[in-house]
Amino acid sequence: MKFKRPFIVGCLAMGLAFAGQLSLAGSNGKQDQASTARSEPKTNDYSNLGVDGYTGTKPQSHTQVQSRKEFRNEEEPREVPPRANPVVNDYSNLGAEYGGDSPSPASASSEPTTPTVNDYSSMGAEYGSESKKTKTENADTASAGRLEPPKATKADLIVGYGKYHASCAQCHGEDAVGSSFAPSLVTRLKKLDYPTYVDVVTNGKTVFDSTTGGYSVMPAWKTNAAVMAHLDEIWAYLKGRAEGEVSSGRPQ
Amino acid sequence: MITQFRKTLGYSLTTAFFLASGAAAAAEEATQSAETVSSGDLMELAANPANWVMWGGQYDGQRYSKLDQINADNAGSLQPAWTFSTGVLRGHEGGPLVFGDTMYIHTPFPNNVFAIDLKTQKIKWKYAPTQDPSVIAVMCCDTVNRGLAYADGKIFLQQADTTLVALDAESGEVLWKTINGDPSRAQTNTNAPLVIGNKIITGISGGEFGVRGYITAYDINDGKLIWRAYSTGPDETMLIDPEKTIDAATGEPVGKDSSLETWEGDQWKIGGGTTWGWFTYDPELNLLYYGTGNPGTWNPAQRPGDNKWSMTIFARDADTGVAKWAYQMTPHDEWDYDGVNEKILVDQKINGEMTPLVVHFDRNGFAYTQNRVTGELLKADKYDPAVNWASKIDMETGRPVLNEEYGTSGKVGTNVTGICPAALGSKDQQPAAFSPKTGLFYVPTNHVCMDNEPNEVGYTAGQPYVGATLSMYAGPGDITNPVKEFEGPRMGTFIAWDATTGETKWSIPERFSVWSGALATAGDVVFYGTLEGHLKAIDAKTGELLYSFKTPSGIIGNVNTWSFEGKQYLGVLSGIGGWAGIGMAAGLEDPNAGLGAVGGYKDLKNHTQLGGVLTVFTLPDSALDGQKVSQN
Repeated sequence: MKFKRPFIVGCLAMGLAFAGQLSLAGSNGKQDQASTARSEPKTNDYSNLGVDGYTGTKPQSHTQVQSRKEFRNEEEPREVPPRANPVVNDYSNLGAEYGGDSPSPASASSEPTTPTVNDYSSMGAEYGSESKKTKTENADTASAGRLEPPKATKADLIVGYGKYHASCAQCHGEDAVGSSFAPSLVTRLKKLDYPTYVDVVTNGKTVFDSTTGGYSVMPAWKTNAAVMAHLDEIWAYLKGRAEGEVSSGRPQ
Repeated sequence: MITQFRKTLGYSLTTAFFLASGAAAAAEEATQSAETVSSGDLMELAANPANWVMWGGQYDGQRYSKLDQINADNAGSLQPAWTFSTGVLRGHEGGPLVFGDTMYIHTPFPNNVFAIDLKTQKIKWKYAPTQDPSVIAVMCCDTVNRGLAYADGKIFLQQADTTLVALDAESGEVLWKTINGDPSRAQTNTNAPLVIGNKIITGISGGEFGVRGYITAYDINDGKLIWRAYSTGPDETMLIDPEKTIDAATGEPVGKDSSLETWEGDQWKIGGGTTWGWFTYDPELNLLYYGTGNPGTWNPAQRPGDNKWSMTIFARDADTGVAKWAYQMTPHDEWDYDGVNEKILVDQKINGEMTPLVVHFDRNGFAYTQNRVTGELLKADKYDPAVNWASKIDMETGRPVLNEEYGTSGKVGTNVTGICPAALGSKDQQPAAFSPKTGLFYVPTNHVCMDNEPNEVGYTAGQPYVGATLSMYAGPGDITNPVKEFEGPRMGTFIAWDATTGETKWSIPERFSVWSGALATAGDVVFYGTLEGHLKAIDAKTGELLYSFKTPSGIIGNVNTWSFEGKQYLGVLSGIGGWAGIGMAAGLEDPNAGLGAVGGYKDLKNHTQLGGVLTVFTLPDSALDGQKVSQN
């Protein structure tokens, strides 16, 4: 058995904790803190909640909550502001280091220096790769500088269909008809111009959506080579859908 | 511990508390400190049918209530009693919790929490977390939240940004917070946590973003980490004992490196196995039951091997997290059949012998009946006749017998057609219910098939890692013992299932997937909601429709029940979204059918729009006939 020592200590601690003698956190005062938090009014420090501090209505103290119940009809419900400083746990000995790397913009875009240039004229051939490595595609940022999309071919529509469904359909739905949480691109592309499309897909967009009262978030795809290399084909497919030239389903 | 409830509730509520619950005896005896909160405390609260204190009703996840005031004779008289708009318009999964005279409601992102006074329906308090909306970008399937947990005078919220928060149930004050994951690595949360003794268990999401899944136990008093078990990788990180943890497929110990041996190279590091489903618990065995999700990319070519322990049912010791047994249902997944659906614990006679069972309706279309002590596989049968990716589960090896024509392995660039079920499975997260009275499971199912073309995708942390193009549509006409005729494309079926024989007793066809959590009651009435928004009451024995009411939006939430001041109530959240909100193209076998084709999401838009409303139902006094709610 190759459990690391901290784990064994943890097991022992758990056993003792269960017997009520020791808490894993090691804080003897934990019991007292818990009951103190309930029986005495808690004074919160709001000074760290933003540049100007907390400017909303101060919540009532705990004892006032109890008496307020007698006058229920006169008081408004409290909105409790979130407190800062969450507990920080140490996961470093639990195997977390084996997880995927945290992306910094620099490392995520540091692809090998000679990206593969793909040949789209024979769809299918290059996609049967046995390589297990991250496939590097031509991250075509020339799209960003264009005002007009390049002229699309039938093959482009087929590639666009595939790339759209592999990455975008999860939110924007099959055939780009939209979902309950992402707009129909069949509708959007009727009025969206190419430079705006490239910008939104590349850099993402967060809007407070007044129709739903919540946020809508389009992720930024700039570090995703599979999408960035095929912006034009995806555009061709979506524009074709929007203009009624491409029906739902797989383009033939 | 109950004495602390008395301090915090306030004196005006104490009387109401004792009237509403039968827990008076328990309140007198409690002497335990907050440090040694035992599962027994929460179980006592849950055993009182006036309450609904955890997602599954009880630790067994049966979603069964002993309340019988609503019965097959009077259910037709049900009426809405009151409603509450959550103020959020996204998919509303999960359901309300009720303890005493207070209801606790959660919302999708931004994950607001409301405490509602059941007597006046006033908002006692609201907790509105501040979360960076960029987390939405890494939530694959709508910004849902499957609900709260309650224990020891605290309400627990698992936020989308992975913050786990403990709130004082009476005042809404934040007691502690802990960070469970890192959204910049596409780790997020949608699951409902579960309290076991002094621990709260929670999972992690992000299987479509290459997240390596794990499940964690934190201390309910201060959020400190107790244990964490990964789903893939080295044995010690998975809290697997190579000599003692049993592979339930074979009955043998899993052996050294049971995960590492089933992946090539470093693929396990982005190997999925996320834990976003429901958790159940057996207090006598002290075992936590849950399942793991897909092994990262949907393109199997990029990850040869069985990909353990994705698509796996785990039984773990709740104190230490060490796995007692594990059973992988879909080795080397080719279809995204996440294994995270609820593991329902029942005791039933099988092969003549009363057996402690765990029953699980998997995404892959098979209903598994296992001995929950050992994991031994007793039955595995298709609960939708259309299932075709495998012909059966080999009971000797525990492995599926594949139908090659419906696999996608080795078929990059090929569109494989007619695979059943579709990626969203014969059942997704929507939990089933069990009635000990009828001995049947009531299962909300999807009847959807798909075409699937694997692509190749490079992994970038924080970006979706899907690798396949899907087209989904209604399944074929096969249906077992339908209670009524049904015409047109059918994407859902609500079934009554016998887990001891592997048979469907009756089926209710529905136009759209039945995406709500079911509820079973002692009144022999079962409940579910439809994607058009209907809350339906069904005779548990015959499948006959007793009552139907169109709520403000499509239902993907769970129907829960409780009693208050002598009356039984039902509550369900309406709010279309989740994966059900993504277009499903029914009836489009002909790709040239054109924009006018009826069916799928386009059709759903004809029935419902976005919403976010809790509807509470009850019987009018005239239907009660002086009857008080019984709590036998």
